Amino acid sequence: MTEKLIKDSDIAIQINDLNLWYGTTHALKDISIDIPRNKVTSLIGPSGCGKSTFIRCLNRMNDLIRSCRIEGEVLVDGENIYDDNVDVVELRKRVGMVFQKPNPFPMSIADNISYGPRIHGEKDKKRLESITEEALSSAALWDEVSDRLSKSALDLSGGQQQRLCIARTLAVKPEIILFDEPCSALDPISTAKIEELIMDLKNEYTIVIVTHNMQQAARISDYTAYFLLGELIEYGDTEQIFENPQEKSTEDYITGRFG
Amino acid sequence: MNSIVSVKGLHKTFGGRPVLSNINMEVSSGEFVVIFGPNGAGKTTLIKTIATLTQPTKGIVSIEGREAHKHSVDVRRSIGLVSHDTFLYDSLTAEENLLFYGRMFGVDEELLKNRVNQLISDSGLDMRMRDRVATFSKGMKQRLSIARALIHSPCVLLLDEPYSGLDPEATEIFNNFVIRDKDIRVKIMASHNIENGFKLCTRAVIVQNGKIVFNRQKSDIGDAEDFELIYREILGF
Amino acid sequence: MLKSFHIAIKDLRTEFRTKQMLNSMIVFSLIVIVIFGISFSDVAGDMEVIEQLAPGILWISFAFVATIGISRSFSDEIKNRCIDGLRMCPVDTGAIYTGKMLSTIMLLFIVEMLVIPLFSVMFNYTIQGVPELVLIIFLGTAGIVCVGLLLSAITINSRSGELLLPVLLFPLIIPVIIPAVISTGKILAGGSISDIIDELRLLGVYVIIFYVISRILFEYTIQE
Repeated sequence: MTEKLIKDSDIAIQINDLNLWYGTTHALKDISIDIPRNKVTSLIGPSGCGKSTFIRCLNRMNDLIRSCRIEGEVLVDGENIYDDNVDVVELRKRVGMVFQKPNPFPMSIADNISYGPRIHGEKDKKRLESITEEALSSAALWDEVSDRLSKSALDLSGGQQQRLCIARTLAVKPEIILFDEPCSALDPISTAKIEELIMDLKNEYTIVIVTHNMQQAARISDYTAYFLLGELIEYGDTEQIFENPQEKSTEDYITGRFG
Repeated sequence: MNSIVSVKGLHKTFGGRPVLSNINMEVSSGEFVVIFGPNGAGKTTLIKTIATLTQPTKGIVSIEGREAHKHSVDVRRSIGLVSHDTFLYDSLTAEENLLFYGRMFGVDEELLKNRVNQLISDSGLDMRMRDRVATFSKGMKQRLSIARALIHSPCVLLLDEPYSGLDPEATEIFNNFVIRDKDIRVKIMASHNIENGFKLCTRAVIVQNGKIVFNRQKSDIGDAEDFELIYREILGF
Repeated sequence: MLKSFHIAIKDLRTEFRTKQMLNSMIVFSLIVIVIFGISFSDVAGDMEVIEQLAPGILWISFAFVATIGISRSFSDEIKNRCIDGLRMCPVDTGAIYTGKMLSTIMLLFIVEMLVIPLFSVMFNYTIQGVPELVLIIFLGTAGIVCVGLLLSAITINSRSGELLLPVLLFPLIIPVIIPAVISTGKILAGGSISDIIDELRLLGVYVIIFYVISRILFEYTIQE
C-alpha cells in the first residue's frame, strides 16, 4: 500500500498485512506501514477509525482483550513481536506507552519513576536516584519537582502528571515510545509543553502518536498516516499529506469536510 | 522479591457453596493490589480470609512468611483492616476509640498518646477529637476507621469496599490518607469502583465466581479506559 | 489478661455514657420490687413473712435484670461490626469473652446493689448479713453471666435471638438459682457464713466450670 518511503535501515517498526478482529468485527484491514526510526509519526483519522486499536498492536496491549484476534506481522528490529517466544514484558520495556489520561501510581514522584527499574531488577539506590533524575530531566519535569520528589504524584497537575508518565516510560530506556492522544485531557499550555518535549525526544527515540488534533499532527510530526474505518488510506511525509494529499478521502478529512 | 502476603490454593465454601476456588496470589512490598469484581464474586471473603477473620476451607495464607491462620494472634499485629463497617464505638470519642484499639494492639502507652494525636491530625479530625463518633459524618467515620486500622503501624493494610456511602470529596480525602502512610508496605483493596480503584492500584486483579480471572501490573494494562474495556469484556457486559 | 480489663473498661465507659442498659435494668427492677411491694403490702413490716418471700423476690428481679444485661451485652459489638474490630486485635477470643464477662457482671452488680436498699425501703425490712449476701449475689451473678454470655453469642445471629435467650437461659441457671435462693434465705434468717458453705461451694464450682467451658466455646460461636 505504501511506497518505499524509508530506507530499510531506518525502519524501527515494520507492519505487514496486519488484520485485527474484535469478535466478528474486522477492526483493522490489511495495514502495511513502515515506522521510521528517530522520527515522529502521527496517526490521524476520525473517531473509530482504528488508530488507537492499531497503536496498541505495536506493543501487544491488545493481548488483554480476549475476543481480539490478529493476523499479520509487526516487526520491531526485524523480529515479529507476535511470535510465540516473545517476552511481552521485555517488549513493553522496549516499546513504551503513554495514555490519554495520566495514570501515575499512588506513590511519591520518585517511587513512580523507580518502580519500573525496580521491577526489572535494579536494586542499587544510587543508580535508582540517578535514573530518576535523568528520566525527569528528559521529560522536562525535573526543575519543577526536584525539591519534592517524596511528595505524592497525585498532587501534581494534569500536565505534570502526564510528563511524569512520560518520565516513567523513559526510566526503563525504551527504544520506541507510543503516545495515545496524550494531550486530549490537558490544557493548551500543558499541551504545548508536551509537544515541545515530544519533538525533543525524537532525537533519541522513535515516536508514534495518535492524535485527533490535525494541527498538532501538522506541527510536530515528520510522517503522518491517515486511517479511516480500519484501513490505512494514506501515509507519507507530513508536509505532503497536509499540503498535497493524494487521496480524496484524506483531503476531505484534512479540510474538515467530515470527522 | 519476597512476598509479604502469600495466598496459596485457597478454597472457601460456605454451607456447601464454593465462594472461593483455588486462589493464588503473591503480593510484594510496595504493591497496591486492587481486587475488582461484581457483587458476590468473593472479593470480601478473600479480604476477610487474608485478614484471618474467616477460616479457609483449604489452602494457606501467609503474612510475612508466617501461616496466618495458625498464628492468627501474632499475625494480626501486622494487619490493619478497613471495611465499610467502621468498627468504631459510637458512644466513645474519636480519641477514646483510638486509645482503646491502641491498647488492644499493645502499643506502648508512652507512644500511644502521640500516635493518636498524629493520626487524628492526619485524618483532619483535630477539631472533633473529643466528640463522640455518633456525631460524625460518614466520611469522617471512614477516615477515623483508617486511623484505627493504622494505630499499630501495620505493614499490611486491607480495605474492603471502603468507599460505599462516601461522596467524591470524602473519597479524595480518604485516598490521600491511604496513600500517605509510609509504614504500610502492602495494600490490598476490594472495590467495585473501577475508576478510583484503578487510579490507586499498582496491580489489578479481577475476581469472578470465586476465581481470579485477571491479574496484571497497571503498566501492562494501559489507562483507566483500557481497563474498563477489559473489565467489561471479562464480565461479559 | 490486661486486654480483658481494657475491654471491660471500654464497656463500662460506653455504658455510663449512654446509660441505656443501666436505665432499663434499674427501671425493671424497680417495677418488680414495686409490684411485689404492692401485692404484699399488708405484710410489710412482718419480718417473718418477708424473710420467706425475700429470697424469691430478690432473685426473680436479679434473674430478669441479668437477662436484660446479657441480651444487650453484645449489642455494642454488633453495631458497626465492632466484634470484627476486636477479632482483628492480637488477642485470644477467650480474653474478649473474659472482658465482656467482667463488664456485664460489674453492671449487674451495680444494679443489684441498688435493688437491695430499694427492697429494704419498699418492704420496711432491715437486711442482715450484708457482706455474706453480697458474696452470694456476686457468685450467683457470675454464674448466670458465664452461661448467659455464651448463649447470647450463640443466639445473636438468629432472628428470634432475644426471645430464645431467656428460654435457653433459665433451665441452665437452675443450678445457680437454687443454691443462691437457699443461701440468701439462710442469711436473711440470721445465719452466718458457715451455714452456707455448701451453697457457696456449689456456686463456686458452677462458676469455674462454666467460665472455662464458655471461654473455650466462645471461639466457635464467633468464627466464620
